[in-house]
Amino acid sequence: LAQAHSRVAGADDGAVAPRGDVELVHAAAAGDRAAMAAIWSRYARLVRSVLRAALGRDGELDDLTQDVFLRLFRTVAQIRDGAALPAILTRMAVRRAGMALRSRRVRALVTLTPSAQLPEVAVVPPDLDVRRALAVLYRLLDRVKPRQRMAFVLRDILGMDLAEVAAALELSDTAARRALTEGRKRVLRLARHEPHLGPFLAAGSRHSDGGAT
Amino acid sequence: MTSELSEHDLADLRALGALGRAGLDDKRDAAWVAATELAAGAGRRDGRGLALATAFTLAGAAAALALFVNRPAAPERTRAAAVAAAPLGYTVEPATPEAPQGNYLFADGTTVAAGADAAIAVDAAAAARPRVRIVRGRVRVRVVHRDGRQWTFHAGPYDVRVTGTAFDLTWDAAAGRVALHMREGVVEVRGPGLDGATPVRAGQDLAASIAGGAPVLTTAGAAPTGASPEERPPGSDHAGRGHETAPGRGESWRGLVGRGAFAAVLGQARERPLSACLSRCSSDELRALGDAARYSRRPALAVRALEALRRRFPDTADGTAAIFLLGRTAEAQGRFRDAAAWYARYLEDAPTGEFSVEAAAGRARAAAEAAR
Repeated sequence: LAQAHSRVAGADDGAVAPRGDVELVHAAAAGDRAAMAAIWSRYARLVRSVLRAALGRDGELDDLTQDVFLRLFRTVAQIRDGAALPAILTRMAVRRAGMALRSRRVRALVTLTPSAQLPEVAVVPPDLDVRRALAVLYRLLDRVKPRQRMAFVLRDILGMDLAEVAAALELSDTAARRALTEGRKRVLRLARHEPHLGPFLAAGSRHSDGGAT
Repeated sequence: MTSELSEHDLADLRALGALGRAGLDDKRDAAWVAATELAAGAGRRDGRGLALATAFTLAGAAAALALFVNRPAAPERTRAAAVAAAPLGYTVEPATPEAPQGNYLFADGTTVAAGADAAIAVDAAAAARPRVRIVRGRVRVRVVHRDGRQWTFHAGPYDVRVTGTAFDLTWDAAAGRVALHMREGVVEVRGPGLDGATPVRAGQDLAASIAGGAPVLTTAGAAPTGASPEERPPGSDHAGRGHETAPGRGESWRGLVGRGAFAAVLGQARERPLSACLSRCSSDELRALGDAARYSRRPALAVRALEALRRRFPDTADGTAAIFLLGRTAEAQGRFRDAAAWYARYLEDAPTGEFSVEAAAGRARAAAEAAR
């Protein structure tokens, strides 16, 4: 989680020394809006990255991120270990992503759109091949069970270690390991049948940047 | 965990993980968070012009995060936000990778470049009526009129309503003075000392102060004009109403465009006749003709003038600007591929030119539209 956090979370860059998580949680529980804002500044990118990694491009990403923090601040007084704040937020983001995935499946059933995917907001693609491959990857992930999908996302995309994956999924280490292995196998099996992912898989070592093993 | 997976499997998993990470879009996430964290850090300074970037509730109390950029007070955070601030409903990205600080590019193509000492607040809570408050300092603005959005810029008690134009707006908070320099188009200004909604056109400057004294409206090459009724000589043009004065034959076309006398420019060009003008008019006249045609919604004529300007004066500032303006015209006509090509051409020819920020924004915008 530290690796994932350090990669995605913005460092505090204010003029004053940053307050620790324990202190921030305590202050937020007392209604200190500045503390809430500081928590947001410190961890919004982490939460957003977990959600994005889990869901891919999603027009509701902003709302989902805010929703995680809303839930956090509603229950912040119940947090006993402020030092666990990043893990708590990751867990909440995973839960929220799971809810969003379930909503997508419901949407697919009621057929608002055939693929249950809303049209993407237009952005300038940095690389059309990468963008296409990403779309394929997330369509593929939609065919993986949510728990296995999240295990793959947390481990292989966000680089968490197994203990962190287990904590985020609220599973035992053994159950998390099983979910991860099954998820990875399923993802590989599906990915190897996707022509658009072929170049990326064939160039595995080239695209690797030292991620999880 | 890895016992049932081969090295080949792990290599492919690493590749898929890297692919997934490529989609995390850290830059955009950082932009979004930077905007909201600034909002949190600055808090609401007053009740107007500040956005609710997000709202948190705790024990029934609402905590608001206002999107706010405050350079002097928090230089490090300001830098982060200057790279990219993302008010809700808008995507804001660095206008140019080389000089991102202080440049804001909104999803509709509008750009706001803040000076080194400027502080602004962006309120996009109402997507159709975005507002920017100039807390202090000078900003350079180019508004793209799309989707019927009504942009308003607040400088102290002065409101500048925009419908697609370019201008520099300065607010001296300590002295209570506002200064507006119009580079393109027309805006309406309301505020203390002004007689209702005062149009200010391309080439004009407006200076006003809440401390007293009459607002001064100046047209390039003309004597300053009092903007208030009391200051104007009898029978003079009501600059604040924006009526066209009778075009003088000796007046330059650029001056006429500055006064909004577009029809006069088009009429004089036709009298030469037009084909002769396109082959013999000066670069200044062709630029003015192009502007007059664009403002009059005569894109075909604008293209002819700008093409002539580009072809006959390729190594001049006007000739280079014509490339950008051709892009602007093509984009307004919905010819997005052409627009993207023109913008790209401009960036090649003038990477640090007058319109480089707008061209970069335009290229991205037009490419995205063309890809739809």
